[in-house]
Amino acid sequence: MTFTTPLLLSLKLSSVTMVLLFIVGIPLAYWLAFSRIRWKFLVESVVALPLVLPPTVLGFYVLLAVGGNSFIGQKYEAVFNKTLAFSFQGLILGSFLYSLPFAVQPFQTSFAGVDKKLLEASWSLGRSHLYTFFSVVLPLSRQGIITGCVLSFAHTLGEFGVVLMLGGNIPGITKVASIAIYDEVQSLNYGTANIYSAILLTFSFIILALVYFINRRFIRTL
Amino acid sequence: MLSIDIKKTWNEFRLDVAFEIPRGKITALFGPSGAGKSSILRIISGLEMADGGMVSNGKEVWFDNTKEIHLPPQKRSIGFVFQYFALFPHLTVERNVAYGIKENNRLKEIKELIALVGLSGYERYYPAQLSGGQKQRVALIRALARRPDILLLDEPLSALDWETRRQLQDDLKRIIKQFDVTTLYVTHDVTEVYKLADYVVVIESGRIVKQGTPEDVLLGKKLSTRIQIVGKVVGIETDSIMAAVTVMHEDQYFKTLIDTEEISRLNLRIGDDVVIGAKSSDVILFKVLTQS
Repeated sequence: MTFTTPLLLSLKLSSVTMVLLFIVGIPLAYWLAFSRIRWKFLVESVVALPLVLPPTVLGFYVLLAVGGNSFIGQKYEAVFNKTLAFSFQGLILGSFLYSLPFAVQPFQTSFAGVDKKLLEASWSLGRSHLYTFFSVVLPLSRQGIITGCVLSFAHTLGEFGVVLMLGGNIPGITKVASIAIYDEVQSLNYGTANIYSAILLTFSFIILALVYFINRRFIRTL
Repeated sequence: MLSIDIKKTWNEFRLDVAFEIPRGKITALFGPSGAGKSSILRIISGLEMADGGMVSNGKEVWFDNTKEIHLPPQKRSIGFVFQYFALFPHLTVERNVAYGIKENNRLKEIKELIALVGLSGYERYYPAQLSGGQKQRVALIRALARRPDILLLDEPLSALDWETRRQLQDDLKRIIKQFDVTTLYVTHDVTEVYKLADYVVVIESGRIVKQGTPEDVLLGKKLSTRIQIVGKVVGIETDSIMAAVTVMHEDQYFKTLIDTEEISRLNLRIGDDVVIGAKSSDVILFKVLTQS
């Protein structure tokens, strides 16, 4: 294991999580924005849970859910011949759940913000709901979509509790940058901890500055 | 011909109307705001569903409560023009107009369509770069581009200032007639009814109260005069025999004399909508002299 391994692992975890959240988050956000089903608020609450839960609570329950004794854990082991807990795939699952609101909420807000009359205009021009989504809703929501993707990426980069609970601290597999910092501090290697921290700090700042810059530009051009 | 027979109840409000829209004509749906005009349009287009009744376009049934038929808007041959234009802000004029056209070989018509509403040269502009009148022209031609059977307009001019409105009224009529499309036009402006409609249906609190030609319905008689100007009464000066009535039409004033008795018989007040008529034999024509 080299110095850069935890950083690269963090980047890999964040990228994969972001892509998964984009793929799953967009239809979910669309449903949340436009469905009129009465019990929708329950799904909204579940999506928002990671905002308020201690990461350890989330990590603990996911660990129980995917552990070797659980149904999911056993099925996974039967198919892939390895455990889901304490693996990189397990980390992806945890990160996905933990960052879900950071992707879904900006998506949902921007979808709901598209003028309903534009959707009606599209339908009255003979275009299906799917065509309307790709031609009207999605392009007019690009700001929220970029925000959601970047935030979920940055949030995954910074997570600690869920990763520790679910992945442990296996070098090269589950030892991401945030865990590495903790490790180095435990072993009193403040210098290395400082370098990791500084890199994460700079990276997070750049990402957030980018989000705010993009938002400002889009608001101006609209 | 579009046949409509719809019933729908919202909390306190009940809509219950049945009427027919003659083919190739412009029918105005006229009445005060809150009378249910826009809801009728939305139900015809399929954007909203009625509780009961039927909507059919010739032999094609669009909605029939008893047979549980409810075609979505996409399956109805309609063009819808919204009050606030509803242009796609991220698409150019050209791509807005092309939006509803599914046949690729028809895309070359778009330039001509844009020219038809006087916007040649604006093809690459975005809606935000256009004036209100221009936006509504784009919305109109976008709705007509897919050659719908029925054109539905929901107070299309009410968001515009009167100068733009006057220009657009003429263009609307010309373009609609050119497309020979059956049109239903929602308005609460009596001038628009006169200027545009062949037929008018008057709605008040969810019911039809009158229908017929604009003259029949709004004046209760046929006018034999050649010149008719619709306006609002802005002044009445009476003496025992004669009264001078001032009528404002757009930015112009007309003064006319009538019997004082007639004023009380008509119960004429300031703010009433009236028509000034003149026989052509009594009208003197002047040529406007431009500076030489």
